[in-house]
Amino acid sequence: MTAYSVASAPHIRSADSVARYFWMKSAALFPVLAAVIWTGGGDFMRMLVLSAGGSLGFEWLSRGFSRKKTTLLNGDTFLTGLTLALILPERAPLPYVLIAVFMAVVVVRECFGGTGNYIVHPAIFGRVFLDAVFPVSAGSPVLFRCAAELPVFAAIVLSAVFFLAQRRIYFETLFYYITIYLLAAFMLGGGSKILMHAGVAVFTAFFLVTDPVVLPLTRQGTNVFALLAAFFAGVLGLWYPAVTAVCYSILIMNMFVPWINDRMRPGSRRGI
Amino acid sequence: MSGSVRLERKKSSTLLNTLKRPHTVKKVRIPLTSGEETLMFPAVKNGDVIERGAKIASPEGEQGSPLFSGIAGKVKLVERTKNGNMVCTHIEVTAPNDFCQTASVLPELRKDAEKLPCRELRSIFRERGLLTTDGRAEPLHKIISGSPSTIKTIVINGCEPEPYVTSEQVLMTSYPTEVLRGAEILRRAAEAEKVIFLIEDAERELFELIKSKIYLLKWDRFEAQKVPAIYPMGTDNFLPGQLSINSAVLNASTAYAAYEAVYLHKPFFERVVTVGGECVAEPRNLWLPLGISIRDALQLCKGLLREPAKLIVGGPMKGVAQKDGEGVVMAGTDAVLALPKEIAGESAEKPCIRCNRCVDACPVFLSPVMITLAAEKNSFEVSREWNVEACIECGLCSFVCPSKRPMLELIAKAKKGIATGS
Repeated sequence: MTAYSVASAPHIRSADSVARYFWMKSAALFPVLAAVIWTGGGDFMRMLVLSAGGSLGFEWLSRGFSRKKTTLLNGDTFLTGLTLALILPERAPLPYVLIAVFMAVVVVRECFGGTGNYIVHPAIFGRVFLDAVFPVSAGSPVLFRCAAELPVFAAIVLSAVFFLAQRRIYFETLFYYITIYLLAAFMLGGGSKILMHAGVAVFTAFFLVTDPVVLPLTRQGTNVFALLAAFFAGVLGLWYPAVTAVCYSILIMNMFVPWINDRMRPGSRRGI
Repeated sequence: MSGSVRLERKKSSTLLNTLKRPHTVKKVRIPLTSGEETLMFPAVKNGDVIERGAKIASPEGEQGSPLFSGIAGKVKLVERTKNGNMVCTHIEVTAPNDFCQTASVLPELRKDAEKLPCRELRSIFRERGLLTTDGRAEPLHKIISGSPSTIKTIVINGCEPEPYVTSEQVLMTSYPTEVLRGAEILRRAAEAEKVIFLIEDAERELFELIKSKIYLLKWDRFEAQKVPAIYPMGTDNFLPGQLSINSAVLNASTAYAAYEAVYLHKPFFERVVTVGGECVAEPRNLWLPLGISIRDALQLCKGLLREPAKLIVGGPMKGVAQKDGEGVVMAGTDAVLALPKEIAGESAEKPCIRCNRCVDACPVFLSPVMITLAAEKNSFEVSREWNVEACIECGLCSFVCPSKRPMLELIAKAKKGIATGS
């Protein structure tokens, strides 16, 4: 008989994979992208191509420079590009878009080691960087402006359902985020725009809060992350546009992740 | 349910074919160990011709169990030099082609079996070389001879959560009364109060069969309980709730071996083994003598359909991959699997994306991700802070990991690092 592999147990693996995770999440975004293309027209198309193409291009270049094997096929960078396109204003000038993409892909992803190693959400960081350094360029994106329009709102809900069906996220995390966000928006005077807030809350809960790489490592921790992120988003919403409030709140909570991980270990109720 | 996974069962292929006792085994090679590393001495000489069931080795002292040959044939002692002395490491029994391996005449059923005192039962277990048929493979008399107050319940573990493996299920379905009688012997030997049969909820027919047999025998000290068919329930005696407290957890095949030892005076030299996997031509359960090689076991199932990626002794979750077919079936071997590349092939490792799947799946509520990320950097003290020593090494974290990280290897590395103080 020939010599067989003697790798350690287990000898079978689930069919899940990193690439499947990111590509399926990107696929779930399809209804939102379709609705935003329909609403935002050519400007958004341009943004989408720039952001997604730019992300892939920057990763390829960055990996080439550092002589590492490219990870384009795992879909992580593509998802970053899609997300960035959805949270940047569709008419942002080309240099600003490229700066945001560069910050997201090269500085946040690649400099920290690529997929799985970054400490803040890359797309959100790209957006926040633009907000902080070039405030004039960073208005509200078309998705957030038109979230109250029925086709866009329906598309957001449809995308959310697609992603929920993939069973990648804890149901109660989404529930906590959306409830607290809407409650805060309502109590802080956003009652007249409640549909817009609902659309933003659902999109944020499903597609921004739930990037696993920068989430805590327990169910309880993830729930606490979502609760606090929603609370901060609601409070910041008093002074800033929804997109800015949402992005800053998530970035703030990204900073707390190591602390949450240490305090909320599996099987313990320490710190709750 | 958190802390467990319902694995694809893949049991139907081995259940299609009936349990069979092959009579064409020509060679066994039995290592001289008895459960733990007890010193064993050959009870036969080179060239001796022995019968099936003959004693071939005796342990030093009272703790070990003797070994018996599962086939009739000619003895060859395999020796090697250790500390300047020749030490026997294996005993080979080879049957010439004209040797008949058909079953000898069945001994008379012992009539007073139900009246034997516990001391005598334990002595029978020791003399007949009974070992537990789980991963421990320890002498049975050692497991149940604790002080009588410690074992209140005998738990007969009928759970087989690993895919492909059906040896316990087939044995219980084929010989339910014998297994029950064996369990009663174990109860009396351990002076326990009751016996609980654990059957997976996916095996409804087996559960009803055992329940009906208990009802027919009118043994009110017996009960059957269903447990969810989730991994790792039942493996290495990992059981829910209070079941393991003050209990001796034993497999149904151990109960059957106890029945045969007491009622039929039969030494322990064979067990039911599932020979399966997609590469096996005729997957089925077989009575195999201890010491038969994996290659021969596969041949008894008409060989291989195609070249496997892995040969595994045990289930696909916890079994040990073999480099060739020379490994042998022992008391704790419940399965021999030949799995193809598409099932057991190795995938490239990707970086951890912190998806929490391993944390959610861990049945003992650890954080495999934190433990293994620390172990990767040789920070074993951090792994210890995350309680790596409590890991039961069920392999679920590796199974669910989308990044295909070698979690179990890293956990073993961390445990070793802590043990050696590096």
